[in-house]
Amino acid sequence: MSDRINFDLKEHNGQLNLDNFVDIIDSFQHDSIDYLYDLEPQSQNLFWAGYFCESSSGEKVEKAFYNAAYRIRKISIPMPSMEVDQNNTLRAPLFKSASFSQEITIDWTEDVYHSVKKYHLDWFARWYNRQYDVLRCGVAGKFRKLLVVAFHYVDDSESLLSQPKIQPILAFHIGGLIPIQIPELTFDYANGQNDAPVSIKYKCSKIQMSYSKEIGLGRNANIWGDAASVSSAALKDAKVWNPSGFLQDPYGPGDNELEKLRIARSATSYQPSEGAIG
Amino acid sequence: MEKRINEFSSKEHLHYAIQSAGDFLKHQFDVILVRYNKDLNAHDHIGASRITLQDKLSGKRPIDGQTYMSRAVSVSVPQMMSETYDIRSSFSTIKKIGTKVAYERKSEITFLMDEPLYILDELNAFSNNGRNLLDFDLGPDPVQKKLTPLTINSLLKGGKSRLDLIVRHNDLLNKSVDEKSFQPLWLFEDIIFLGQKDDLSFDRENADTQQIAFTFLFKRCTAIRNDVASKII
Repeated sequence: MSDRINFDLKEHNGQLNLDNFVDIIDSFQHDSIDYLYDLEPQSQNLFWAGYFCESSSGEKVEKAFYNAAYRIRKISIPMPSMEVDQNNTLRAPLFKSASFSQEITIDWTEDVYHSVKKYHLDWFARWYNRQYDVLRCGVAGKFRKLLVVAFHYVDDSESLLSQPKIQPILAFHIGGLIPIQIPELTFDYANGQNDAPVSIKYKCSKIQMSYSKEIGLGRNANIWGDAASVSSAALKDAKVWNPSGFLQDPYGPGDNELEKLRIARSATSYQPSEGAIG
Repeated sequence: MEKRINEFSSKEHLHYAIQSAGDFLKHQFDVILVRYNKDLNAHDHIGASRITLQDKLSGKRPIDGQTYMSRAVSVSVPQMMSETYDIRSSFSTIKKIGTKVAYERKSEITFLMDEPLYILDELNAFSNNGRNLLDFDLGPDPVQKKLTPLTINSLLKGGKSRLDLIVRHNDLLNKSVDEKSFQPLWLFEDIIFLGQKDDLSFDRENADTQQIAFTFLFKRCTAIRNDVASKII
């Protein structure tokens, strides 16, 4: 069997020489089982999404949603699309336009204090002051950013007791976030559902995808916007949720006081505000 | 390969069976309920002393941790299994291991009831299912109006101290220290009793003892070998 398929178009008056495929297809069933059984699958549930804070050029973190990585249960990131027209004269598709969707959706896990909605309502107030019915000027507090990291586990040790290592695969750096749709707050005697996801839509100005250098693609692939570097330290923050002693965001208010409020063990009437969260 | 396969004669098989450890017997186990002070966090369970359960309710209750150990009838330790998915390859379907694990952080423990139903009483208190408490007067007491059936997490956990459950394989055969070190125990962290699964039943034609299964949630279940476990209990 030859290593490469010989696409000899001349042999049969421009027709492909299909004889070359006989040997290959002969073992195709057997080989496809080997290939697909060993192929590492892409998974939707291996991701970390955090570092949710105000977009700024400085190192100071402001208006952060503290420990957002534990709250974000689902995020959908749009991919670019292209429109092509069929040209009847040339009998070929011609490029018409490219579009980059700027809308993402995040499903949050809410708590008893409705911290997620409170955070976004405070954020909304940065854009529009409902009390005086006026728009706010300036950019302070209006835009947020977010980091999403897809990862998998790698274990190349022969020991049965070895611990697999985390290997980040790629990261999405999403900037210029604006909350455009906050869902309604519903109270219902006929429905005792707990922890219904709060699905919030955002517009963003930048989605930058960066491949991990460990998998050999040491460059940034920009879907949208400029090429800002992603902090490598922030890629290592994925840990298991544990209300007492869990690894917190490095930029939080400290002392874990706010998170203590949100777990069911404590009873309090305190409602965190955006400023307190960040 | 043929030589190695031939080495596994029936005689050798018997030899290895004798040399290996004894069989896992279901009835050899201890159950230990460990209650912690409210301020302790998850990292403080090692070295914490066992606290009796009677301090929450009336001090007259003649039960403590040992009572629970002796009256435990059965308990289940959930195991994990990876979920699979199918991928098509031409005319066959390939099963593949997925990135989801079938594991429910929920189990149940069955107790043989004592005649005054103290165990039922206390475990109901831990599940915050106050209406089942025998201690409360059923008269027109304003306190009774405030009792609520178990409803939400904050009621289940607010104000309660943390409760751990330890299930230990009990060594009845006086094994050596080396053998004991391989015997595991299972630590259920931060369990929450949901209430009782079985009804209390009375029957003139049946003199069976009353057993009640209590379903509980747990944060994490860890299997620990005895050398480490000895530091916990």
